[in-house]
Amino acid sequence: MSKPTDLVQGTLDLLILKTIWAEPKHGWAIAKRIQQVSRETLLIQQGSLYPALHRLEQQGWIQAEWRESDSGRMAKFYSLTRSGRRQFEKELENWTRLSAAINLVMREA
Amino acid sequence: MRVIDKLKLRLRSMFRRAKVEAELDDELRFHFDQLIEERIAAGMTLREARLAAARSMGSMANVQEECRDMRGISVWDDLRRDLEYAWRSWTRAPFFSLSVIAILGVGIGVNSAVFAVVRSVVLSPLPFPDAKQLVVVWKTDQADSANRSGVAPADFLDLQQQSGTCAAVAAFANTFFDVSGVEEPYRVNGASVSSNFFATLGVRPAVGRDFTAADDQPAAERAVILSHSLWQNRFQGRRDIVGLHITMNGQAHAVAGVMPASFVFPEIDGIGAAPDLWTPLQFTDQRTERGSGYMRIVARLKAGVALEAARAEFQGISRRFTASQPRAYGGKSLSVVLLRENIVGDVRRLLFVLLGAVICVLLITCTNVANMLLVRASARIKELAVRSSLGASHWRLARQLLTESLALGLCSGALGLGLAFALIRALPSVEFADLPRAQEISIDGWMIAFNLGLSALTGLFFGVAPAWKISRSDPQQSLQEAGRHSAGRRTNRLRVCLGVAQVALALMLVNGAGLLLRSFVTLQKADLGFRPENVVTFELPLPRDLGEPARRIAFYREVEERISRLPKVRNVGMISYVPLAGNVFGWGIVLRGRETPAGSPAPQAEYRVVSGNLFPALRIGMKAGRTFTEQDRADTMPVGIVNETMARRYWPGENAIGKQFRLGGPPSMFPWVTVVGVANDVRFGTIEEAPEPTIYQPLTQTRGTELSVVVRGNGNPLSLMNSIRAQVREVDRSVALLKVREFDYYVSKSLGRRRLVLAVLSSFGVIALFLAAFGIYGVISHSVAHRTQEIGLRVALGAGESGVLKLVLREALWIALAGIAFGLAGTFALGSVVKSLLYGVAPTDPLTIGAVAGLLLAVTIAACYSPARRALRVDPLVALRHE
Repeated sequence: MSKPTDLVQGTLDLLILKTIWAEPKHGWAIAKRIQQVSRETLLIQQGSLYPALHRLEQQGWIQAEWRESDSGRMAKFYSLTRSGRRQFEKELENWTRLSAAINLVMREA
Repeated sequence: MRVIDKLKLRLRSMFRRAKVEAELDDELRFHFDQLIEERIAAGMTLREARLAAARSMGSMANVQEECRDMRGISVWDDLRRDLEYAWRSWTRAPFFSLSVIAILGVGIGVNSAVFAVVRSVVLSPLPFPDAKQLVVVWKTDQADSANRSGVAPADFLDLQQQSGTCAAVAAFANTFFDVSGVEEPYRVNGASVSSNFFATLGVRPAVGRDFTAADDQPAAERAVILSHSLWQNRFQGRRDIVGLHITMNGQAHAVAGVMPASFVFPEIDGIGAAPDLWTPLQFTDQRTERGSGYMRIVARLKAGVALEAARAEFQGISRRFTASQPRAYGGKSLSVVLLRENIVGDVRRLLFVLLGAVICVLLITCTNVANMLLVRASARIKELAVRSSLGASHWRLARQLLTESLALGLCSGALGLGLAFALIRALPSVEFADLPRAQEISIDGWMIAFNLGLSALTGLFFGVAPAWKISRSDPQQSLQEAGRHSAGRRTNRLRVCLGVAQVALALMLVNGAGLLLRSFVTLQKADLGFRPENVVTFELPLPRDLGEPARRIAFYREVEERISRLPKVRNVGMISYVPLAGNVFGWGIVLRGRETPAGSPAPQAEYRVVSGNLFPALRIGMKAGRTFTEQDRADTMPVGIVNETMARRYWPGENAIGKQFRLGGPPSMFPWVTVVGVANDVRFGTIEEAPEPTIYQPLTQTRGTELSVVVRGNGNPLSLMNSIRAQVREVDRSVALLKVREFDYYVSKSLGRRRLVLAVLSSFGVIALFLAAFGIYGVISHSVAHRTQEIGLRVALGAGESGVLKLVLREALWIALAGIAFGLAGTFALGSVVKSLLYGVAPTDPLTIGAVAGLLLAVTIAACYSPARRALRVDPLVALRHE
């Protein structure tokens, strides 16, 4: 069960938080959205996605709610909590610093 | 707010599990359906879409498992499931699980009981505040530190004044009191104590008051403090006890107080009957008494004063004593010993040997159970392999095994705790278990903690091996191998190691038991110097109103004559202290013609007053000369009998008969005594100790001391006791017969502690042998099963029965020999520890070791019997088709 792209530890959390920043989504939609936006580069396996969702919920950064989906079936929608938003900002900042740093090294070294 | 939300989530995960699981299921199913829909939209058929979705989904169970992990509930969940699972696997093999629990439970129980004893007796502080500042002061022979005594009253008063390192110096003297003025007069052990005695120990009476300095004054009203048990038993715990008058030794004593039930008198003289009441010393002319040694000194060091400082100071005081009293202190000095050391010093080593033995047993037990679990784990390898290929992680499986082992361990621990309680409760009823601080032995929180820790540890210990094995196994290989009924080389090597360890530990234990047994047999055969069988003995105190010596002597003579006229009585004799009853004291003596110069220590001898036919009654043989006769009267020449050791030591190469000596003391009281006979050596102190020089004097030529009566009868003389009692009563109604015992009692009592250790160690030895045999059996039968094919092949190729047997036995003998080698190494390493418990045999006695090694080999071969038969019955056709 190798993953197509091994995400940097913690990056998946960032992607998930970003994806549901604007509006609540269910697991499937989150995976699809990340796939689309990344132009099929990031394929999120549910083997990583759902455990991550449950962990984030457990940490209180996202909360879940059963709602009707577009297809009319009940699905579990995840949305950001207030502390989730704070966490997202923190992680985004970290990420920006890290990627900038990596870019610098790539260019200069 | 967040915390509460989180908690809610977690609780929900834990307690609404079904709901949470169903939701997870729905959530994943939704995802799955979306996948299918997407595939169909891309043009696949429903079937194709489903297959593709399933493939891309991977293992649903894995995802669920990981989600559970993320929710943090899986720990609890798994634990519950593991326990359920453990229960199922136990009930599937009830014999196996029960025997594991029983074996381990016994191991843990015995271990906890011994630990409780060691802790209560040796490790825990004495029940006095700041007990580590309490010391005992002895007058000790510089050449022989075991030879020690107390000090004289005047010395005690000097010590009180001169010691700067002690906050308080107290003294006591053991004695006994006859209580009268009640319906049934009785005798109790007591102690005369200095008024600061209890204060020095740091204890106070629970009722009433402590002694004060005023109580010590000779003119003061006589006061007494009672023990809690005396108060309860003789005075029914009455509240108005304080101020009550008790007649003791014919004098009225006012009860000042009662000690608390928890008070334990420090048994610094060895284990004996603890005193039940205390009176103040009230020195009169004893104030100036020197030379004696009956005052026991207990002192409390000043805070911050080290033992070494006190030792140095008492060395200085001893030098002054030696200068001023050369007779009493020549070659002696005052030694300072920690009170705790004094009380438990003797038994510490013995208890640690027991603890070591019991830990050996526990180790054997654990290795055995580990082995059993390993066998089971290999039997379950297929099942575990299946679970592993279905996605269970290795860690998960290992944890399952660990949980099972831990649960087994804890069950055994519960059983062990019960057993330990029972053992400790039974301990006081074991008459010969004369341990110091025996009343303090109890089970407390520490012991329960120890027990729990022990069971958890053993659980872990024997869970680790199988778990480690599982976590390293490759499921695919295991699945294949499982079909072939084997568990791989590595497990087998592990099990061989366990077998070797068991044999080694068993060798050490059985060897220890063997050595003790040999010591015991040697001691039982030891020449006591007298014959204890068919002899009854009792103490016969003098009636109180007999003042002058002639009347005392007449009293004993009359009792003697009356008893000897009884039918079935062979001989009647009397002696001041019977052998082996725990009374030995050296007396200083003076040998005529070789008086020791003033300033050097006097020669010493045991001193016994005898009367009647003591020598025939105890069957003490004479080497030379005569015994005492009717003609040895107060007005004839003072005569004495000495023992062989005395004759040899003090008159070497000469005929002792006709030589003269006298007891140390004022010559007016102790005239010269002429030796008229040499008797065989009698062991008065203990069976182990070589006899000391001993002097016997006839009662008629002494001032009359209290005697014990010795009656030899035809057959068991205890049956004569009623008529003996009646005869004594005819002489004097008021006296009581004390400590009526068959003489064999004293003999077996003096072997008592030894018997206890022997009993414990040999039962451990038997357990160890049994377990070791079981362990070897396990290894060999497993290996035979493992090598069925090989054996079949060999038989097919023409190997005979002896060849097959050799194959089986070779492995077993290797294990046994390796175990014996390690066991020998251990025995040699630990030999010095048991040395002090042995008598007449070296810790590395080749005969014992040889016998034990032979025994272990025999046990090994016996353990191979049934696996070997199985190997012999291997049918090559079946075995080869087995694949």
